[in-house]
Amino acid sequence: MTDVLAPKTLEELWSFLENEPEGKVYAGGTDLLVWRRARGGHHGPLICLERIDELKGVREEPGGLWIGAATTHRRLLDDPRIRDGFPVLAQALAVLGSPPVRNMGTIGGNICTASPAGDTLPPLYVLGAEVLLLFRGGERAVPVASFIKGPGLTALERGEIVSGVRIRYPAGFNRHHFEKVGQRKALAIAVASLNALMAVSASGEIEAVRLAWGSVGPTVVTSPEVEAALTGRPLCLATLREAAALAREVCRPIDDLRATAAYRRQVAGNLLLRLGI
Amino acid sequence: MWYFCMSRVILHQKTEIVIRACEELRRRIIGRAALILFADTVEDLELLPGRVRHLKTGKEVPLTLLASLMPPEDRVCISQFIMPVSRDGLDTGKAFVIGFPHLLFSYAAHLAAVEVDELTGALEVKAYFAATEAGRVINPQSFEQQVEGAIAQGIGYALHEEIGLHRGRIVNPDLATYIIPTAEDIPDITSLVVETFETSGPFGMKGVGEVCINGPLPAIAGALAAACGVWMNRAPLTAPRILAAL
Amino acid sequence: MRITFVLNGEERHVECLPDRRVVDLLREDFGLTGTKEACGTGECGACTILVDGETRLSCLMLAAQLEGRSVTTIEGLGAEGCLHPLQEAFVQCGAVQCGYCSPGMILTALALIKENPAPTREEIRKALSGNLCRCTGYQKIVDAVEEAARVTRGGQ
Repeated sequence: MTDVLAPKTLEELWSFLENEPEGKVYAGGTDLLVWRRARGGHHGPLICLERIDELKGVREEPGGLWIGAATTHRRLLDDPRIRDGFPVLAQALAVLGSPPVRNMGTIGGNICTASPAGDTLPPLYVLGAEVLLLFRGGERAVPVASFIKGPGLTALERGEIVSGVRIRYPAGFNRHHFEKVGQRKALAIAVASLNALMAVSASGEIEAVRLAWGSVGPTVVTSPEVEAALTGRPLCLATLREAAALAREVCRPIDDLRATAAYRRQVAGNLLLRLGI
Repeated sequence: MWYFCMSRVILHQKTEIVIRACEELRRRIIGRAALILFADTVEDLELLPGRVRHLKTGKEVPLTLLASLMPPEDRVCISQFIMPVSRDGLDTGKAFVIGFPHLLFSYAAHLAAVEVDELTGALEVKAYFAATEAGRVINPQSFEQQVEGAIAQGIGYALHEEIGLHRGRIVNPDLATYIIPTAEDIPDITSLVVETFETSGPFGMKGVGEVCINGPLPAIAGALAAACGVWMNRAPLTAPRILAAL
Repeated sequence: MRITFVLNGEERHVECLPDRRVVDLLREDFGLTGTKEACGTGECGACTILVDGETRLSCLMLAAQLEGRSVTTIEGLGAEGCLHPLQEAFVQCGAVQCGYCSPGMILTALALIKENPAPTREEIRKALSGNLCRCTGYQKIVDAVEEAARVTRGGQ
C-alpha cells in the first residue's frame, strides 16, 4: 500500500517531506503517475501539492508575473495576463498534451519532469524565467537554464519544492513566435520546437532576438551564436538561411522512436525560416 | 489485398445465411400457426411482431405459445450458403482453389485535398470526399458510419501508423507511441452514396465494411505528388519521409 | 483511508486504499462501469470524468485526491428513458459505434457546451482532441455535439 498525503498548507508539507524521505511530490500526476506505473518500483509515499493554495495562482509583480508551481496549464491559458503578456508561453500551453491533461498538469510539474520535450520549457528559457524554490525557513531563485541539468535532472535539493516561476514581460520585442512539430495535432510529444522573441525595426532590421529550441538536445537549446548571426541583419530568408545552417550545428538531437536526429537537425534550422514568412 | 475484402465477403455470406434460416423458421412458425388456428391455407396468415394473425378472422396466436408447442429441433434453423466465385479457369492458384477469386466487389472513389509544410514535411488532409458503391443501402446512417470510420483509419495508416520493430520486439506497443489520429487530424468528410442493386446480394446489398480504408493512402499520395511532385512508395507518409523526399 | 466526496450529486463515503486509482474506485467499488480504461497512461481519454466541472483523467487520479470534490460520471447524466440532450444527440446522429469512447466524449462535450454554448466544429474538435476514437472518424461525434449545443441553446 502506498500512502498518499495531501497537505493543505506548506507547514504540513514540510513535516511530510521531513518524515518521508522516500516520498515523491506531484501535483497533476500526468507525468509522475505514468512514470510510477511504468517503473513499478517506487513504493514510497506520494505527496500531492494540489491543495496548497500558496502554490497556486498568478500574481502581478513589478515588470512581470509570479506563477504558482501548482497552477494548471488550463488556469494559465484562461488568464488574459498570460495570453496578452506572454504569447510564446500561451501558444505552447495551447498545444501541450490535450484538454484534460491541461486541466491536470502544472507548470511546476513540467519544470521538474525536465523532459527534453517539455512544452513550457523553451518559452520559459526564452523569457529568462526564474525557478523559485522553497524549503522550510527559506527560498532561493535559480534561472531555469541552470535549474534544468539534463533529461529528468534538476537542481532540486532534498527538502525543497519548486514553489513558482517568475517571468518578466518581454519588453521591446514585437514578434512572439512559437512552433511545435509533433506526430499529430494533439496528444503529441514535441519532435522539435522553436520559440523566438524578436525586436524588428520598421525598416525590417532585427534589432534583438532570443531563441530557444525544444526536443533537439538533452535540454532546451539556446545559442548566442545564432542570435548574434541574426542581430543587426535584415529579417529576410537569406539571413534566416545562414542562421538556420548555424542552428543545425549547435543543436544536439538524438534518434528516438519519434524521430531521427537527422530530421530534428534539419527541422531545427528550417523552423527559423518560418520567422521570415 | 484480399485480406481487407474478407469481412465484406463474410458480411454478404452471413447475411445470406441468416436470411435463408429466417425464411425457413418463418415457414415453420406460420405452418404451426395454421394448425392451431384451423386455417385452410397459409396464405391467410401474417407474421406480426410477437404473434401470427389469421387475417380473415382476426384471431391471433402469440409466438410464445407457438414456441412452446414446437419440439426443440423444430425451433432451430441452420442454413448454409456458398459465396459465388469466378468460374473462369485460372492459370494460377491451383494448389488452393476453394473461394477464389471473388466475384463481388464494392467500389469507391476518393478525393483528398492536402497541404504540405515544406519546412517540416508535415502533411495535413484539409478536405476529403468519398463516393461509395456497395449495392443497396438499407441503413444510410450505418453506411456513412462505415465510410467515415474507415477513412479516418485509412488516414491514420497513410500518415502516422507504423509498428516499429527492434530485434523482433515492438517498440511502440501503446497508444502513446502508436499514433492514431485525433479529432484534430481528420477533416470533415463528404460522403456520397452511389446506390445500385446487387442481384446476388442479400436484399441487394454488398458490403461496405472496409472498402473505404483502402482509399486514403493512394488518394493522399496522389495529392502529395500533385502538390510537390514527389511520388512516395512507402507508407506511412510521415513528415520525416516527406521532408527527405522534397 | 476514509474519503468523502460527492458522486453524481450524492454524498458518498468510502473506505479504500489512498493510492487506489479513481478509475478503479468508480468501476470496481461503485460498479459504475460507464467510465472506461483503454491506455491507463492519459493518452486516450476513455477514462474521462468531470471533477468540479472540469474534465480529468481518472486513470491518473488517486482516491485520496477526491476528498471534498464533486465527481460526475456518465451515469450522472440523464436516466433510463430520459436521456440528456447530449446522449440523445449521440444516439440520433449515429455518434456511437462500439461505444467505448462515448462516455468520455460526452462528458468532455458537456464541459465544453457549458463554457461555450455555440462552439464551432473546429472548437469542438479541439475540445475533443484528448479523446481518441477508432470507429467513427469523429465526424458524427462533432455533428452530435453541434446538435446538442443547438438544442441546449433552445433550438436556435
